[in-house]
Amino acid sequence: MEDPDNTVRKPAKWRWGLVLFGVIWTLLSCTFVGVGIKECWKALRVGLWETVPCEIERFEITDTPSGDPVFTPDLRFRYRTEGRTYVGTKLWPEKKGSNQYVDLVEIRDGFSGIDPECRVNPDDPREASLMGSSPSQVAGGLFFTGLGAFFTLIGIALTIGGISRKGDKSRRVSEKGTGKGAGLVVSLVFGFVGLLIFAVLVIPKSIEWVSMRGWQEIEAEILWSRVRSKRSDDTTTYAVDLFYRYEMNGREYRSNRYALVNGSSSGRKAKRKIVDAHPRGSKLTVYVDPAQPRNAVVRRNPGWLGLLGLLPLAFVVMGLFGVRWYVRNRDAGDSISSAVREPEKREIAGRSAVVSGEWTRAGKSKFGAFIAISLFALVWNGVVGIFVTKAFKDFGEGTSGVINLIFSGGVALFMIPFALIGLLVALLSVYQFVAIFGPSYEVRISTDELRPGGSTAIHWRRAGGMSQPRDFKLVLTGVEEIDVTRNSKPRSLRSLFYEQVLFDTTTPIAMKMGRAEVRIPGELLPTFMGERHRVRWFVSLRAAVPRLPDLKDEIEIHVRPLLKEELS
Amino acid sequence: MTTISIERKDLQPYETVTGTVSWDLDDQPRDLELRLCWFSRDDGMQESKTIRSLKLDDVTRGERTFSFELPSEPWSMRGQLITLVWGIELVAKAVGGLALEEFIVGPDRKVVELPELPEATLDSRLRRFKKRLDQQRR
Repeated sequence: MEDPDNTVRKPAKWRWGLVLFGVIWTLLSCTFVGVGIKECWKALRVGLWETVPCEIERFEITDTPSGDPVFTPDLRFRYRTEGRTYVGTKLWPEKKGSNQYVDLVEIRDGFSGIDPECRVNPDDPREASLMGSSPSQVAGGLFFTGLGAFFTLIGIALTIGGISRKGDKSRRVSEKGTGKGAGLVVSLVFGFVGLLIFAVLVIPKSIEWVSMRGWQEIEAEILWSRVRSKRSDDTTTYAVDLFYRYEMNGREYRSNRYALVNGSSSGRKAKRKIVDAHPRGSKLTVYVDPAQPRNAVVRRNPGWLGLLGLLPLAFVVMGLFGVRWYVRNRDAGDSISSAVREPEKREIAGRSAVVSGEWTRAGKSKFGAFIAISLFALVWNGVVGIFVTKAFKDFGEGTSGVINLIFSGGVALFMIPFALIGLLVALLSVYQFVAIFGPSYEVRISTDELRPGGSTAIHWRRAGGMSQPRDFKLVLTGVEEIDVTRNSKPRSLRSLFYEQVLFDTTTPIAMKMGRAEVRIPGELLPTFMGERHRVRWFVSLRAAVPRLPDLKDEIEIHVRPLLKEELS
Repeated sequence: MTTISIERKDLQPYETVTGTVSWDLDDQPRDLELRLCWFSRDDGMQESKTIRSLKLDDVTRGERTFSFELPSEPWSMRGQLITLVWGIELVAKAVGGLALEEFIVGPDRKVVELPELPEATLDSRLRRFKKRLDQQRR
C-alpha cells in the first residue's frame, strides 16, 4: 500500500490480437487508398493533355433504355494538331455517358455560342476528348482516397496501441495519456468528413429543394417508363426511371429526373407500381425551373429521406466531443488523480428514486417497458426479417451457380441467431404486456435516519393490478455495481453484499399494507455514486403471482454518510 | 527523490490528513500541485476524484508540509468488484503523477470489507466460477 508505483496486472494476450487486427485492417484500408489514388490519377492526367481549338460538327444525345449508361453523346468534332486534322468522338476520356439526361443537355448547351477547345493526348494525337475528366470521377477518387486514409489511420493507431502495450504487463491503472493524440486525429477526421459531406451534398441539395418550391407545374408526356436495376456484387437495387418531354416558352425539353436526390435502393414493388401508373404516352405533372427550363423534376419533396441529411451532423458532433475531450485532458499527464473541476450536474439515482416521507411507486413503469421492448422488437424483427427473407429467397432460387448457392446458404445460416433473438424479444414483449396487469405496490420511507447503524420504518400498500400473490416478501439489499463495456455494449455488473428479509408473509390481508423496520448494518457503507462505480441500497418487493409474471420490483434508498457528531 | 509522508494513515471522515512532501526533480516542473483524492478501481478501469489541491512552487527541489480536511465520504472499501482508496498525490502538468501515498478513511479507521452473497444471476455465477478457476491456478 505504501508503494507509490501502485500497479495492476492487466491481461496481455489480447494485445497480439489487436496488433494482428490492426495490421490486417491497415492493409485492407491501403487498398482503398490505392484505388482512390489510381482513379484520381486517371482523372487528373487529362489535365496535362494539350488544349487545341476544335469545331463541333454534331452533338446529339442518344437514348438507349437498355444501355448502361442510358444516355450517350453522339458527338463529332474536328481538331488540328501537329499540322494534321483529326476527328474526335469522345466527350470524356473515360466516361461514356450519363444516366441523367440533363447532365448531357447542360454540357451541350454550354458549348453553344463559344469557340470550343478539346484536349488532345500528346502521346497519341488521335486520342482527344471535348471535356476533361468528369467531376464525379475526381470526387470519387478523392472520396476513396480520403476514406481509405481515414481507415488506414485507425488501423495504424490500433497497431501502435497494441505494440506499445506489448510486454508492458505492469502499468499504472491511472495511465491516461495513451491514445490522446490518436483520439484527436480520429475526432478531427470524423468532424471533417461530416462537415465535408454536409457542405458538398446536403447544403447544395437543401438550396435546390428551396428553389424547387418556386418551379412551375407543367404537363409532360411520358416517352418511356421503367424500373432501372443496378446490380452490384451481391445485391440489386432499383430506381424509378421516367423519361418525359414537356414544352416551355414554345420549346420542347426532355428530362428523366424523378426526385430531388437521384439514387437506387432495394425494393422493387413500390417502384414498379409508380412505373405502371405512368405508361408510355401518358401525361404527368412535372416541376420546371423557369430560369433554366432544361431542369425538371417529378417529385420535388424529399420526404422522410430528407432527414438522412442530418446524419453528417452527427459526425460533426462526435468530432467536436472528441476535440473537447482532448482539450480537457491534453495536459493532464499520467496521474491517479484528476484536476479539480466544477462539479458536474448529474442525476443521482439513489437520491431521486424515493422521496423521503412520500408514497412512491415501486419498480419501473411496466407499460413504458412494454412500449420500449415492443418498439425494439418491431425494429429488430423488421430489419432481420428483410435479410432473412432475402437470404432464404436467394438460397431457394439457387439458380446462379454453386458459389452463390453456398454464399446465400451461409448468409441464411448466419441470420438464424439474429432471427432467434428476434423471436426472444417478441416473446419478452408479450411477457411484458402480461406483466402490466400484475399487482403493483407503493412504499413510503423516511430516509433521514438511513445511515450505517441507523434504522427507520418502511410502509407499503397495494396500488392496483390484478391477482392475489401467493406470498409476499420485503427484502433489503446492498450491491456493488460497475459499468463495463462488453461486445461494444455498455452494461452494469452487480455483486450482492447484503441481503435481509424485512417482512415475509403468505397471508393475503397482510400483503395489502403494512410496516417493517429497516436497519442498515453499522459496519457497512453508505450509498456511493461514482461515475462508473457505485454502492447502492435497495428495498425489493417480491411476490409469486399465479398465472402472471412474478413481482420483483425494487426501489432505491439513499443511505447517507455519518455526520460528524455521529462518529465515535 | 520524491516522497510524501503522512503522519497518520488511518483516519475518520472530517478529520485532517497532515504530512510533508519533499521533491527533487531533474527538470523544472509546471503547475506542481499536491492533491487530496480518492480513486476506485475494478478489474480494468478506475475513476478518481480530486477533493482538494495545494499549489506548490514550480522549483526542482523543495519541501512543504500540508494538511487537508477530509469530507464525509466516500469511505475506504474493498469489495468483490470495487476497491476504493484515498491518496495524496504530487502532480506536475504534462508529466503527471510524481508520487502517491495512500491512506484509509472510515468511521472505524479501517477499510470496509464487502462480502459477496450468492445471487442467482448469471453474472455473479460466472464471476464466482472465474474466481475459483483463478484460485486453482494459483
